[in-house]
Amino acid sequence: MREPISCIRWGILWILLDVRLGRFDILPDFAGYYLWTEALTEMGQEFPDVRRLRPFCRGLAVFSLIEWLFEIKISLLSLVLALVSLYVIYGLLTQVAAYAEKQGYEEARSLRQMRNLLAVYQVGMVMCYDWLKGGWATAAALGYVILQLRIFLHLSYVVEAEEKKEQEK
Amino acid sequence: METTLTVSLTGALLLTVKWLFRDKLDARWHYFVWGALLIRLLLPADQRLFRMSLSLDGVIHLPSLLRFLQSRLPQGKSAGGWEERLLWVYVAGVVLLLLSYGAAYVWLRIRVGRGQPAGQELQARVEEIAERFGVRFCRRVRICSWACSPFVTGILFPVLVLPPRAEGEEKDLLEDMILHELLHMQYGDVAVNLLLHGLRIFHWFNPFLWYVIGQIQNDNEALCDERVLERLDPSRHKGYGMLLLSMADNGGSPTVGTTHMARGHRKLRVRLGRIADFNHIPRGNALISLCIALVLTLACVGYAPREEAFSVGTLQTELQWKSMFFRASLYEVSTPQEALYIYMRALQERNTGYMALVIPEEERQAYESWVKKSWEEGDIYGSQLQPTIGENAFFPLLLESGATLEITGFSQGETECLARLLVTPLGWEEGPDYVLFLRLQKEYGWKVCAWKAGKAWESMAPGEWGNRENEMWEEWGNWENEMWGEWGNWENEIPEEWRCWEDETFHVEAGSYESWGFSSLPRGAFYFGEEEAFERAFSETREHKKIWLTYTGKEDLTGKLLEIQYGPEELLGEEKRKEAPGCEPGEIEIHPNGISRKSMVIPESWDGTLQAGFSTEAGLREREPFAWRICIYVDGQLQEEFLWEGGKMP
Repeated sequence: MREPISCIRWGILWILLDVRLGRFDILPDFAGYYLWTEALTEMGQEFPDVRRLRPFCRGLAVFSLIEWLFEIKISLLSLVLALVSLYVIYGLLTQVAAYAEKQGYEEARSLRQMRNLLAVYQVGMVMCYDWLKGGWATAAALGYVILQLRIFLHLSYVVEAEEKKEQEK
Repeated sequence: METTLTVSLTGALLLTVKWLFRDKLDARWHYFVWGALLIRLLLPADQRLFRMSLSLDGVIHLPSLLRFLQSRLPQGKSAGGWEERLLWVYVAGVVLLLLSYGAAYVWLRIRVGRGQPAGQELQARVEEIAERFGVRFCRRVRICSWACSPFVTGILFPVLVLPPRAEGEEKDLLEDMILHELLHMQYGDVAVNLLLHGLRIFHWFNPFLWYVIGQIQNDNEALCDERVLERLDPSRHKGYGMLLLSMADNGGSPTVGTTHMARGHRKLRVRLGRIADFNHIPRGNALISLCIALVLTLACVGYAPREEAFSVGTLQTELQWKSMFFRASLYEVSTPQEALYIYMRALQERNTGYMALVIPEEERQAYESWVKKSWEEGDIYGSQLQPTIGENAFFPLLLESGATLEITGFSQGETECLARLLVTPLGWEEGPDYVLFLRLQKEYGWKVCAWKAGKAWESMAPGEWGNRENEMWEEWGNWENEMWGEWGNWENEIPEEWRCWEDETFHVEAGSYESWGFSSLPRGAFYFGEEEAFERAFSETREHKKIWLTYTGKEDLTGKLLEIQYGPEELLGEEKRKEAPGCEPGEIEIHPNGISRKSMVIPESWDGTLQAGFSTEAGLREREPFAWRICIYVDGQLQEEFLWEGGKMP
């Protein structure tokens, strides 16, 4: 499980962070969704229920590739994609947390907390996007980045623990 | 109409999202997410609650679309007749369906009343099931020979109706069957059924909404199934599915006032699918279910920030032109000021796309034909007219680069407005060179009609402008009298308190509406910057460009030096106000930062007036909201000072 969790970890960075060079997104989302699809394929062998997320990831990868290439935004599709993305990341973190718990890693609880916080934060961002201005917008964006980095960190701990376990074997 | 369209759109969005999450979220989510539709229904059709970019309103702005369609409908008596007839058809439909449902319900209750009361054994069985599963008990149980499947009817005095075969059913199957109905009763599904039938009555003409209501009823059944499964031992789940299958053929459409919600193979497939997913949907999804439902609800009741500019886009093919004209016809210019702004932009940039936004409806066709012809002949590249093209009715002026445009004499009414557009070419020092008389009318948004253009000032000495202008106004006024009636009322639109300030000594009147403009009209004939929001109001800094001072005191001021200082509040601080008069008598001194000063030594034959004005400096345009301070000095001593904030007296 080290590799799929590692893929999920890097996928989060690609998807949730938005680093732009002018209008060009240098961390395109589709790459992250591709990583997640790969992770799900591997995880599906052990956890069959997780396969349900795969079509979502594929769909998100295709649409975000189209968005990235043609710089188009269709508002209704954006809404649906935002919901699907919300569900996918929640589902993935749930699965990783469940696995971590099964393995007895300490990170399971933190991952669940971060997962919940991320879901609430994302909904808050969708709701307040039009209202946040100036310093508040910056603070919100900063908080979001910190949250993502924390999730990345927790996933890194799980990956590390998996590595140790593999070495012990 | 707007209500049914809004609800239908909400239903379509919910169906789409539900389809996406069909096997990802549980039956509880699939049912309760319809709450978004209920909230949408309870709100007035044009009511939006929450500003959110990702909202349904951002995809299709229904009020605008309907107003646009309405503006396209034939107006007049015949159109009014149709509307009335349609209304009667609608009311007749509502009444007929209401009577039909009412009669069906009364007939059902009569038949249930005639049914055979359940035997003691069955009654005891129902009681035992209710007790064991912790659900509400139904005292009235009847066996009806005509009933194909069990159901509960009645809200206040519910009756559990069972088909005759129920008595002979296997113990477990009977238990599942009764538990299902008792759960329907417990969660008030009879009331839900009534509510949904009420919806059917009011939207009887909308087949899509009937379909949506069918889906809600099926989701209600699926949720009830889930509640049953949650209470049953997993070993009995399969048996419960078989029970549903066995009842699939016991047809009959959902009946009003019962828990009989959905029947049919197709709908049953959804329910069976949910039963199959029961153990596969991960637990602990409550938070994400709530988040998704919340975002969806807000998307259904929210409003998107309205597009505040119009992008003309690339115009190289006929299709692109047609598309641009169509989009322009949908754009609603919200204020007369915005219409003036767009009109000025159209003239300044020779932009046929912008002009399309403010062309009155009756001229639209002629305008589009003219643009098409000019485009084919090569007089238009992109959206811009070539300098070679002559003046015409739609573009009465083809401006040279750097010309200054200014709106004066703006008079605002409910549905019509008047304004003058003054044009001063670059480097022209004698005042405006052209004047364009504009009439604005409210159709689908505000439209602009150039009534008269004149190069009136060319042959006149500056002192004669006023007379000539008055003549033109009079001429226009007479013409407008025929069109609108009372012309005189227009001049009185300005509230008195906006115009003057008075104390015991001085009467000061501001030139409101005398010379207004926008704060960010791009200068120059060609403007290729990224489209910014259109201005929708006049700049506050341009209000009260002139003031007239009248001395009303009793003291004789002859020989004294009277001075006015007039400028932005922030620049006329306390220290500045104490300063001695700064200019020679009779001169107007305009400071680069926007303070103007005028002074005079009062002659013996003074009529008591002094006029001052200011020139709107570029730097001031960004400083809104804005306040003007006016200071009056006599012999260097500050006599009076007062403030005008945002064009209004404090």
